[in-house]
Amino acid sequence: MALTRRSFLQITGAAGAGPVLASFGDVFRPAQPAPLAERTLITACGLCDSACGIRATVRDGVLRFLEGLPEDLQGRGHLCGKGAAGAALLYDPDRLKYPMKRTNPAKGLDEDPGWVRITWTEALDTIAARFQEVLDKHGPEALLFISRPSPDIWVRFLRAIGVVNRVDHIDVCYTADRVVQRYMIGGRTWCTDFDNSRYIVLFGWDLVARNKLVFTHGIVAAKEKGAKVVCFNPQYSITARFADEWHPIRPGSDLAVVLAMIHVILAENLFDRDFVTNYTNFPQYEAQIRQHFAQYTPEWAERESDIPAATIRRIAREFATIRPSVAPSYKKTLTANYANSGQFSQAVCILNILVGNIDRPGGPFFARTISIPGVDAIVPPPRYPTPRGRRVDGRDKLPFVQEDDSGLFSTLADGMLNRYPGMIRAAFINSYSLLSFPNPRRMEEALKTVPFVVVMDTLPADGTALADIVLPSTMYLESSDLVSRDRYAPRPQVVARQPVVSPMFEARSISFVAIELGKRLAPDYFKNPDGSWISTSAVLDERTRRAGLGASFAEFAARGIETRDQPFVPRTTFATPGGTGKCQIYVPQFAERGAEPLPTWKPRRDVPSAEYPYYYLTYIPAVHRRNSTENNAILHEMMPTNTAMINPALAAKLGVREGDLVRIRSRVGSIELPAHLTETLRPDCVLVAHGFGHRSRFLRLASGKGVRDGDVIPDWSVDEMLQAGDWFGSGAIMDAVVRIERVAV
Amino acid sequence: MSTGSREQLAARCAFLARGFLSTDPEAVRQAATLLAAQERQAAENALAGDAAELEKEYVRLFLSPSGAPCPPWQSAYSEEGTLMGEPHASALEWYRSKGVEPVRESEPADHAGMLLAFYAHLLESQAPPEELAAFRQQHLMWLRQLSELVGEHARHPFYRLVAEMTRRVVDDSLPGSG
Repeated sequence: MALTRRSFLQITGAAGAGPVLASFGDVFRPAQPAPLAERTLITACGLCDSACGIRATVRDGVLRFLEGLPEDLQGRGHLCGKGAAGAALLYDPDRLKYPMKRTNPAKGLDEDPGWVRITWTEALDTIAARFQEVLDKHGPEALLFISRPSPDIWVRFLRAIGVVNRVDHIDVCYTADRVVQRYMIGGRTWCTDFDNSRYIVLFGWDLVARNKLVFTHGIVAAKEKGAKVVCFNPQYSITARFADEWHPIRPGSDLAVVLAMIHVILAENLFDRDFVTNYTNFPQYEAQIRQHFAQYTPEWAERESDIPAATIRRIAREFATIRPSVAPSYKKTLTANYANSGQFSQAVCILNILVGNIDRPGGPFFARTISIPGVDAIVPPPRYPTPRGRRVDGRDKLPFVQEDDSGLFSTLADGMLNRYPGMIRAAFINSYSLLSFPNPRRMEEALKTVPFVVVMDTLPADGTALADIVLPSTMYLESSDLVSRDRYAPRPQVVARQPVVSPMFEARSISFVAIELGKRLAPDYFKNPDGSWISTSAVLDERTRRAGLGASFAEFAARGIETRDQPFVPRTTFATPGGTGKCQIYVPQFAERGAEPLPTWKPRRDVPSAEYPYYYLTYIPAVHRRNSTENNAILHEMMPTNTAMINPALAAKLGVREGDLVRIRSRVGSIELPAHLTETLRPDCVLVAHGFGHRSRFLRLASGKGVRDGDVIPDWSVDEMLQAGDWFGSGAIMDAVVRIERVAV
Repeated sequence: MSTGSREQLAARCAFLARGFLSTDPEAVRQAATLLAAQERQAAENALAGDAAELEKEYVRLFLSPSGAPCPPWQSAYSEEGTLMGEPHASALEWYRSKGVEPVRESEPADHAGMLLAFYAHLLESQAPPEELAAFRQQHLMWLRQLSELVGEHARHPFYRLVAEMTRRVVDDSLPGSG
């Protein structure tokens, strides 16, 4: 800010101000009236997508304290450790603060980019010009957006410029689950009514530690009422400790156990006859179904999984007779995640159908939400261009995944380096770290081939070092939105996410970027009918009005939360493709396009060999969220680094003691980290926490701590994915096998 | 207390404040005009060379989007290690007590440059020694840590000079101020 005569006079008029202070008129101004007293504001957490309600205490523009919102039915007045520590993320000294551009054209993690600050206008003008040049010369296929499909105004921008290649992390998370559930029960069940379940079977999902409070509260309530919890996991996880039974299953064989449970339930006719007869296509395909599952005996499954046949038989019988029962498959990363995850999702879905729990108390619920219109309903856009061009990740080869608009992190590097080398001419990475990719080293190589890279984020991510332009992003405590939650079906709620403080430094939202780039690249899509530019605040007010929440967003935000009490009516028609209105145990559409209509045993992709004799497992620690919180001062103190967790029996065999440095090597790479001996793991496994090994050089707390778990996990090509029969786009991030050696010091 | 030393200290603080806040060589040169001849010459020498290098070095030290080694905000050096902590609130209180506040509302008030500019103002406006000592105790001692970090990481002669002069400003105890 230039020192104007006016501000100079004001400053010199202030008590006792002399020439020094006058010369800092760009820094100090006369004090405004006394600051506002302490106040509390309602907002919604944004660390994970369950978006718990928050009550924030703010004093003089500074966030002091976060606590759970008592009216919130998900958090039930609590926040998890990550949510409660949100202020440390808001106020992280390492936050990206101003738009910047690189001045050193040489890219690499060891190059100094020569960053200099630029204005937002220069940043947006530059990005728009470079994107326009790429669109003109190479077409929309040459633009890569590594970004979630939100918010809707951002999607509007992407659609307006005809983007073909938007890729997000959903394949390593839940694409298979979503695709499979759509075909089998007509939609994805986000929420599970644990509160009313009497028998809960978990495959890998460490839901107690994962701290999605809505689920944690539910399963604790169920157990208090006497529900039995059975946990299959190679690791004695927090949930395993909480459970009544822990079964240390062989990694990658969860599918075998589920297939055998289905075998028992069908063979002994223990299924819910009413549900299966009236609401599924079982009557039509009974013969095929019975014949198919006849092969998967518990004795067979024992050989694949190390779980005794008698145990599988008993659990299958209990699951089918102690109702309501449920086997939630929430997200692949949190349940078992192997190349056979698609078949696993199919099989788990059948298990739930057979006990008749779909959208019934104690089972998986379809979301009931308070409907909030999107931007396209409020300001209808001109017709969008049909996206034309090649999919860099090869998604078009997977018909079922192609229908589901996400993308494939696990095949993206292969697509950029081998399948269509040089096709991508510009990339925009919105809040994703290279750490999120299996084999991040290859993703680094792939990004280096892109002539122009924009990174927008709240904190330095490993991709930042390869960017040409960096944009500082707001985080959830600085944002406005209406958050319609879908995790608790019986009583849908909307929470106002309102900024509890002004954005730090020059952080701006992705919505702002969408509109500003939209004005420059696709202006017709960003105008109101009267010709003025679309404004996010006007759209938010209109969304609030049309959802019946209030006269304006500000009015609703003052009250903060809306609950709709409505009777819970279980669904009796199921919107599966084919139009029968029934759940599909046998999926004819899968058969028509080359996939298996019934889940079929497939081994994991990589199996132990003489060279790589051990299973490599990763997990996300309870105190961290993916790879975004390791620099959080509070959470860092709780867990600063990762280790190689191995069983003492394996350690003895390898000659490794507690704290010894070990090298873990797979067919794609190796990592070195200290051993931590623990009885809580099968002796044929090594377990490494995800989210560490940030390479951004000066990240105050997280850099240099631990290693990247992904460096030993193979990425793959879409052809390899098809060869493995992974029709539903699994990232196969648990499929690595490794060699473990003590590093001589 | 000699007025001369107080004036010189104020000039140094104002110069350093500008150095911590701006990468415009002209603005920094302007701030250097009040320094004693020898110091002024050293500053001029350190500022010679390509003007663009000053911004690059400043960003690398204080603002780098790859993580900066020398965060210039006092709260980052407190036990919590996060921005907008107690030092921010306390700095605001000091500024308001003299009728001013920072122009940039969305940035922490405990920036090294702001604190030094304010200290220069206290010195210049003949604030009583107890007040000077209290501000120094509350808001300048951490600058020793910052100056060490800048000294360690700076490659540009200007920021090496800033580091060295900052260290001296913190170490030079004012006569009569304890």
